[in-house]
Amino acid sequence: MKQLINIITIILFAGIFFSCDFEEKNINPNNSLSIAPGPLLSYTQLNNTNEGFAKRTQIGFCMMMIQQTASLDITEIAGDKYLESEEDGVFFTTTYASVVKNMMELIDLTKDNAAFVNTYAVALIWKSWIFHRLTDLYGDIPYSEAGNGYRTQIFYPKYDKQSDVYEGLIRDIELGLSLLDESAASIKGDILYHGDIEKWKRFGNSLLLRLGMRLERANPALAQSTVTKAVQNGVMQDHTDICMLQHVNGKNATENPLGTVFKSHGLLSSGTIKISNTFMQQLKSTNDPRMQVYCALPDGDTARNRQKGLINGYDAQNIKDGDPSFTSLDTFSTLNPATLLLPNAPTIYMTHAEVELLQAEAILKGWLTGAGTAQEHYEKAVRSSMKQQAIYGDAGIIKDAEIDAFLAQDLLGKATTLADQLNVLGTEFWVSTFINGCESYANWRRCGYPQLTPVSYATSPYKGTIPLRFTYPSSEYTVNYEHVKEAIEHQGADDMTTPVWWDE
Amino acid sequence: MKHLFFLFVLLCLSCPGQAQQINLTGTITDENQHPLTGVSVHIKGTTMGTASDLDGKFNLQAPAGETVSFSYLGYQTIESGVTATPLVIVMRENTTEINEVVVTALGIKRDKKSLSYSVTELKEDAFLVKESNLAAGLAGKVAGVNVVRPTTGVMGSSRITIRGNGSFSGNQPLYVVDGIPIDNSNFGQPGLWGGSDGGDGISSFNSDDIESMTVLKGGTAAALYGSRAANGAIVITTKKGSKGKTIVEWNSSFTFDTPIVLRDDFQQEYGHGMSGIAPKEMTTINMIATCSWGGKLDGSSVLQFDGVSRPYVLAGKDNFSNFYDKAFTVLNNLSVAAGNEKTQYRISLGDQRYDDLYPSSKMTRNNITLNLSSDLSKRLSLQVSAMYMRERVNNRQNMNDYEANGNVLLWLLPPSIDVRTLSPAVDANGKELILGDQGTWFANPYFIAYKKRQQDAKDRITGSLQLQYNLTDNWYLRGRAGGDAINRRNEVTTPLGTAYMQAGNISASSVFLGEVNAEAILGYKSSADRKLTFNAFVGWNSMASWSESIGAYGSRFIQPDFDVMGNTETTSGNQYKSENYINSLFGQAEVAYDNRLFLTFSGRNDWFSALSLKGKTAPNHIFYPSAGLSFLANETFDLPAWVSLMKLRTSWAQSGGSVSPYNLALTYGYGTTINGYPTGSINTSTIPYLNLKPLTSVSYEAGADIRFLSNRLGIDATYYIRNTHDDIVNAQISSASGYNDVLINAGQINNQGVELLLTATPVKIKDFAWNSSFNFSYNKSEVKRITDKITSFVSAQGRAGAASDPGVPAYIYQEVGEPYGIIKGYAYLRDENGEIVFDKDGYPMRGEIKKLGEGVHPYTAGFSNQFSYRGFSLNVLIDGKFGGSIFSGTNNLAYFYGIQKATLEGREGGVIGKGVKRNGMPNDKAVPAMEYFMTLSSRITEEFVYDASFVKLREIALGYTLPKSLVEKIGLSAITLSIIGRNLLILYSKVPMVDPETTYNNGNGQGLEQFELPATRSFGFNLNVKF
Repeated sequence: MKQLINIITIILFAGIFFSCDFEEKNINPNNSLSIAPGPLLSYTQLNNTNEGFAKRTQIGFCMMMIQQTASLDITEIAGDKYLESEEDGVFFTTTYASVVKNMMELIDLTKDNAAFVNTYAVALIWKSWIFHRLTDLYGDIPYSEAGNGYRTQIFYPKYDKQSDVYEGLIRDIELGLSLLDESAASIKGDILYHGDIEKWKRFGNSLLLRLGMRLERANPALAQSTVTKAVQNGVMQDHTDICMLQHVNGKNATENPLGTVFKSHGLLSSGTIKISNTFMQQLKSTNDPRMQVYCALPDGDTARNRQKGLINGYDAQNIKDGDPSFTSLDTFSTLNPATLLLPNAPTIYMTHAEVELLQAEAILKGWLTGAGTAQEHYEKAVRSSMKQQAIYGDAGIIKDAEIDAFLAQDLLGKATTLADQLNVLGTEFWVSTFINGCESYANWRRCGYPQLTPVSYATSPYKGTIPLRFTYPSSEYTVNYEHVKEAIEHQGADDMTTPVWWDE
Repeated sequence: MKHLFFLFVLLCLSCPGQAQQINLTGTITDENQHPLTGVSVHIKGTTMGTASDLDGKFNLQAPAGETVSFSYLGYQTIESGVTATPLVIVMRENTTEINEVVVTALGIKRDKKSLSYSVTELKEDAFLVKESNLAAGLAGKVAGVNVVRPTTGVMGSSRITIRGNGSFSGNQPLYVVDGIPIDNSNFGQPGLWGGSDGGDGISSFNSDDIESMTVLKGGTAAALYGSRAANGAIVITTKKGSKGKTIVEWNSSFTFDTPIVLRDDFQQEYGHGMSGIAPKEMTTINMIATCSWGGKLDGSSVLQFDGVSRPYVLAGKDNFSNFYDKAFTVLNNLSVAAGNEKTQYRISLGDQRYDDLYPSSKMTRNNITLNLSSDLSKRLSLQVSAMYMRERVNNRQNMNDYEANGNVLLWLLPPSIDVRTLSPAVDANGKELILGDQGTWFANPYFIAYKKRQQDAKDRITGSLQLQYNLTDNWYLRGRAGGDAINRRNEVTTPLGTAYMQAGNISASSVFLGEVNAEAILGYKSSADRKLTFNAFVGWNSMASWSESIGAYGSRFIQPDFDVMGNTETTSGNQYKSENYINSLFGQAEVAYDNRLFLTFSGRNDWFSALSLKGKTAPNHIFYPSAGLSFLANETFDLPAWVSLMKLRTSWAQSGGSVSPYNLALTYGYGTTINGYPTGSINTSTIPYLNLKPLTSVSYEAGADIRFLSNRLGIDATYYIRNTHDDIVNAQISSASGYNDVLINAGQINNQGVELLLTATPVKIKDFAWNSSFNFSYNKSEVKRITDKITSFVSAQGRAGAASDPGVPAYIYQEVGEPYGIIKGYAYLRDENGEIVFDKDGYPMRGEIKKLGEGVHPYTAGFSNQFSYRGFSLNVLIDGKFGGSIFSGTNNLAYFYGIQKATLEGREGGVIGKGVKRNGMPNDKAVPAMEYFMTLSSRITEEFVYDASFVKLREIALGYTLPKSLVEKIGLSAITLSIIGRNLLILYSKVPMVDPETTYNNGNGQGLEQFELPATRSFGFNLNVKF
């Protein structure tokens, strides 16, 4: 009996000792406890777009509001008629939860690490690219405390004033540029420029140029000094300096999400997204060869004479009030499936053409000296933009003769007043940044060109005013109200018509 | 160990010595002179025995002078000396609680009188009227148990909460089958963005195999199960073999299910169209989707969505019955129970076929169950149980969101459209036939039924083996091991041509879940004949569970009508594994004094792998103590004779719960590789917390069980408190932090309530008996704390009005100071007199977002009556829940699209809302009905939050057992035929259009419904034959 009890006691205690291995048992077998900087940088470069962003934010809001595209839809596409929608807050939540979070992790990992000095430099520049898109759309945003909830235990980041954000963005880019070092270890995981430090320098300076110009009204001194320095240090030189993400045919996550969303949801046949009549008229009036790259009928036909734009601001019920000849959505142009919607079409982050246009504008304003004439830069911009379309393959190639013919119109030269000249530059910017809606929308707000006639849709709260920003997501009101409130007190009502700081 | 084995062998071989034998015969009857079949007759102290035959007769060779014992389930055991033969034995029914034995935690059988807490045991007859989900059959039967059966089809899950919701995370009890905890994992639930109910673990079990189901409600009852029973435990005992006689039993039932749709709440006067006008051209049709805001149905010829003009009449009157199938259920179960004094076994085969309401939606379930118990020797006994369960499901249906939800149009189709006109499912190009461009998200119900495919197959084996060795008369050793293995494969296709996903896609997955428990107990039982008795045990348990899932996804089909993974343009895959361990030591001691005072202590310590990690400073283990006292006042004081029992009880316990594995550290994962660059990222949206500790739930209860007039009348009342602290909260944080939520030990939820059970036998005469029981419970819950910084969070959100879609937003909130899960949304703006304020255009104005109701009913009640007269028996169960509310998205959108009957107001002449203008004058502005109701249904949540209280005729069973004499002539031993019905009548409800219990998932966010399958009432027959 005693022996038996002894045995039982041993068995029972053996059981307790199992618990000692538990530390090993709770290590997640599916995921890693560490990561290298390279894949993190690749992640932050890849995940700046997705199907929802491409369809609803870029096209559905930005491009609709500035009349590059148009839609009769009243449920999914809110920008055409300035409808209230929670969709404009989605970009905020997804950006912080994806690229911002991992960018903060990347910076944490590479900062003060000599082996990754170039990767860190690129991370700083790219961080500013990510954040400028956010602040341009929302104004005041969480910046200094954002995206690092695990390490800092800051769960409710404060909202920084846009002026402070911009200072931070410029500072980070300048620091990044100063750290780039050809002799140090190469950049890890760089999908955009494949480790080309010279290209990163040009991109960094071009981004400074973009940010500097943005501040022309809000902080002219900082604007001018930033622009001047950037151009002196060397911005993008030709269309091969373009900053873009080259998508790859094959897997969902590597394909161009714009093409994917069109295919998956059958958007060509449903006719949800059309080219705006305003944009089409512009292309037609200047006989712009980019029309055949951008536009096509749902059946793929790119014949110029068949292209037609849809007027903004109407639904299927009242479209005939605006366009008495309306019969079917099939007769209106949409995005060209042979170019923009190809699964391997790139997503554009910044082009050389923009850089030239901004320089032209700076020269007109007398900020840049010894940097050539506005006309030279304008012509380079047009040529670059048209050449650049070859990124979409054969259907995107524009012949030199077509470019020459377009330039022969001498649109800038014919403009006499500064306002007219700025209109030509702004309109060219609007045409050449087509499909990069966020940037088109930001530049349009800054310069005000081309001049657009707002629509007035019955149930829109912003009848007759083109929105100037996105509203904060409702989740911020439920969990981070204190800080949103501070932002509103500083910036003004959380409406789509409240201008952001640089747009005041 | 060698000695022990030798001992076994010796015991097995030993046999009693020879004595003088006599031939003992006799007859056994009950008090009404009816013969009793299968009564165990055995000679005390030996293994010799037999069982009575069909006529209650027995025949046994017995040594003279021995004592013979007669025992039969539900009857008092009788002992008699072997004297005169034949013997005439009259057995009395066991009606008093005094000898009632219930199965408690760890399968320990205890006298009910000694329990310091409330338990409820349901016997097999409680499951005569079957529910496709076993646990849902508890509805209305147990005080303190809140049963929610989402209306997601026969293959759906259940939500069982005992004594309220104690946590922001899991709230369902632990299920234990024959001593082994089983997996009750959920395989997917419809949520804000739709989806289908993948069923749960408990739904696989066959009610025909259940002998009893014991609900261990309080912390004390469940404390021995440790962390996993923080929300109580439901202990299921399966049927065992029989001694002596072989019983072959065949049970068959056939029921029809019909949808519960309150058709009177649908308007039937105005047709498809907008602004009072019927559509005239396709452009308009493309725009109006499913609006019933057209003209008065006048019989004129009107263009419809498919380009055909049809008479503008009430064509959709019978849409529900024309589309939904005549659902039916066929259940068959065959079992054999047999054995002798030493070994008994039971084998059962079940075949269940469910043909659901939704066409092409069906389920087949098979169960094979084996039970074996054997006394290997005088001291060693063995119990084995094994079950195999097989489930095949075709087309689980999507709920709530529009996407792939074929039910939406049934609820919203305009009166002038006959659902059958959608029946081609596809148009000439093979694309889904829809109601025009604006109808892209309104799935064609026929397309969902016949083109979309959603299939799953589940195979499950559970088994347990138990050995008990009685070391001495007092000491015993029990070892037990059990396993549970589930494999489930799933495939969902969205075919080419689906309106919202033209290119189509396919996903497939395979999930394996496994769990093993090993347990050993050393116990001591003192002899029952002493004044002071002592029962105790100590034990050890080790639990290991693991899972592995592999999934594949392909998008964009290449060739039409060939929906396989290989036929897609792009594919991707994933894999996930997890392991979880809990080791435990536990013990219990019970001291009884003179059969009237019982004191019980228990303790358990759990060690968790999920709370272990290098560098962690908080403990990975927790101790759960409990103490209880039961006192029989009637045995102590001189109470009047009409008091047959007065038991007072009280207990205190602490239990707790852990988390799922891998929640303590930040981890990274690799994603897509693009152009040769692998991408990697932090792959959690929840901030992990290294020093997480188990949550703790402290419960206290006090109660009394009093019986009068020889148990003809009884009252059992309990008051309890159940407070959870350190609840593990997945608290939502600002997405600007980079994460969606953070895991912290911070939550505090209090529950307290009363449970009342009244039992009565108003009539009991020779052939007629009437038994009645009424149960009632009230649970008051209050969220005391979420975290320091968070005082409320959104637990769930209604689909209507989300993402700026038609309808009005509604939320389920957890909010400090409020009950668990309140419904919040926009209220009407009211003036100081409570009048609704209208704006200058005549529309009601939106007030603040505020509490509009509670999502969980605080009151539940059940009233059961059983009548028996000769061979007839009638059981009627009425139950109800009270005090809770529901936000009905179905009604909300039926207002928006003009199909709800209330929207008939002002179709001619406009609506003048009842209330005041902003200046306080009565509102006199008339607004066209469509504009008014569209605005109302987009602005005011309050209008669509209904009191969800209900009373239902839940179950009815009228049975007739054929006279024995007749049955025996055809060579059978018993035939019982029953007419059964479930959910037959809604006796009270204020919710329009839908059944008041409608809901689309079993999650914590109760109080929302939208576009589910209709609830069903079922009616049919049950035949039970014993051979």
